[in-house]
Amino acid sequence: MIGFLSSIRMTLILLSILAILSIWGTLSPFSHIYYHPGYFAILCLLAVNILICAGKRLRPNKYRFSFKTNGYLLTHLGILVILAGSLISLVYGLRVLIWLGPGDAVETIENHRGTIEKLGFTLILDRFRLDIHPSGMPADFVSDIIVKEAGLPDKRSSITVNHPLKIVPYRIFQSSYRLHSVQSVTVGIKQDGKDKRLIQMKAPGSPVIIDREEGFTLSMAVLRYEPDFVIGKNGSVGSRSIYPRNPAIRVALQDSRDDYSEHWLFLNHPDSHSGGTWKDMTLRFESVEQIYDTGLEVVRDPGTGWVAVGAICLVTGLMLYLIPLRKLGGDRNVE
Amino acid sequence: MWNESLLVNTGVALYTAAFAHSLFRIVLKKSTGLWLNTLILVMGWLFHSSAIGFRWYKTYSLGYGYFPVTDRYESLIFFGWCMALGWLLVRQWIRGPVFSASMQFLAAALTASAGLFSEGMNAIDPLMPALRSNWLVFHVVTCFLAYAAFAASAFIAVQFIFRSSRARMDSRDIIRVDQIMYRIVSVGFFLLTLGILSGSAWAQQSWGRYWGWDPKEVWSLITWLVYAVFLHARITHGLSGRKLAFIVILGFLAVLFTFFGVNYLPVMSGLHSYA
Repeated sequence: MIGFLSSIRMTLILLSILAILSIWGTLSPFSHIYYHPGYFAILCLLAVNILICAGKRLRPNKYRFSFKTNGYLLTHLGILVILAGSLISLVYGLRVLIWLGPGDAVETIENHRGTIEKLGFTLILDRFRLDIHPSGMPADFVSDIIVKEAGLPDKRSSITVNHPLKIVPYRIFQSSYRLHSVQSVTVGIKQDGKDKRLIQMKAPGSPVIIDREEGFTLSMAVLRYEPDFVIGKNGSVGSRSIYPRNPAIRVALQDSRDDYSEHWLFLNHPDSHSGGTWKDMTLRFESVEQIYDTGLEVVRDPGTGWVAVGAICLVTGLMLYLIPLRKLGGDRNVE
Repeated sequence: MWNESLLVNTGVALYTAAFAHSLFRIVLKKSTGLWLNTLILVMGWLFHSSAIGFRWYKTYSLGYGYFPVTDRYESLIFFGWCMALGWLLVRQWIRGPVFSASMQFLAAALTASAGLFSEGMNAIDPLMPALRSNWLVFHVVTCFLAYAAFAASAFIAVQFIFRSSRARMDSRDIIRVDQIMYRIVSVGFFLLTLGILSGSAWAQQSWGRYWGWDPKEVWSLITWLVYAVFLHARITHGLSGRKLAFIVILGFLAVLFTFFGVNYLPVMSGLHSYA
């Protein structure tokens, strides 16, 4: 049994099974085969196989100092350490996606086992910035955050893609973003005989009285906001993206005589669809500065260091293994 | 006035010329003329290199500044470039025109096919934030050079299978070809390992996970496993040269799937979706 476990034949079988299972895993992505006990068992068998094979080479009467032997040992040690590291990651690692709107704070997270875990500090989102290139492509995602820790002064910091924030034992990554549920828009109102007024409103938000005369009130509400307005095939209205490429708002006007009307107002096309004209009034969608929620990934992964060390062993080992290959191949020498 | 597409096209034309020259060498059964063949290809490769350099420079003058391997168009051009370089590096060991023709055809075809995909895709766009990393160049260069090594070894394997079936090889030839194949696969395996590990380090920096089982990652692992099988099978001496050659070909099919096929899988995740 031990003999077979430590044979190259066994190695070949295990590597082949891993390859076949992995192919299957990519063809049926919801099979979660990589987390299946069978997949895990194969990896364990491979680890045992490597351990015994390498152990045999290390026996005092077998070990000879050479690039090839040391390369072999280091390569396989590297793989074992990487496997051990990934096991540690799997068991003790934690990654949680948290959504924060402007001003939101978080001091606990819920891990995948459903347990609430205290962070030991408070993370507050000041704001999320989406930098956009002139071409309309997103250039950078930045979460400006404040970290409050007991007994320490508040720390301001920015988390960007590829630049996580480290607070031992966590690392916090900029992972995602979405439009905040409520936006702040400015609507301009021009009435006959009056100066133009600018009103800041929540979108969507509750009605605001914009005109009051004796026995008469007129109120306005923003019903919805579309950052990148588009009319779909079936006539339904939506957004092509969350980027403010064609911002539009739907406003409702209602007066105390129960006259009611709704209008689409477009930031980039103020005069289209004769929209925004009602009685003696002209409405304009003047501006919006989009507000976003940020999606931060809180990660704690004690296996990472192991994997890094394993990777260094693996690369060094393969390099040592390659050195004697110079003597092969170019001529007609037999190995 | 030279522009990027003229440079690329000149490169492709010279690769095709080198390919045609290799075909003549096959038909005329000439074992000479490798120097002329090399000269044509090197000229093509220089044009090709300057096209990449030109685009690289342009990304800086537009203010984005990145090594041009970040979309389908750019990566196909770079893939072709690595193929040509791969042939230049190994041609001293495999001097035969069939091998030359295969590698040169692949270099020309990959580079030229960038033009097919380029409908509006060859514009220089700013880089998406996750791709803006120092790992980009190292990761892509190691992976593509590994692919080139695997292509070379696969062509050697195909030739090996054909020639050994006609019993036209003596045992010394078989050993020599086997050793060259082994040597090239070993270098490719080392480069692929570097490619996978650097991708891992990059993913760790971007997303806080060094491995996420995305289809591209898994297929690179599958490729790695196939070549690991080859390297281990060779030690046992149990498998004949022909069977080993089949594994090498299988490995290159896995490479091709990793590069082209992954995009057609049921779930495709963001960063690798172009190449």
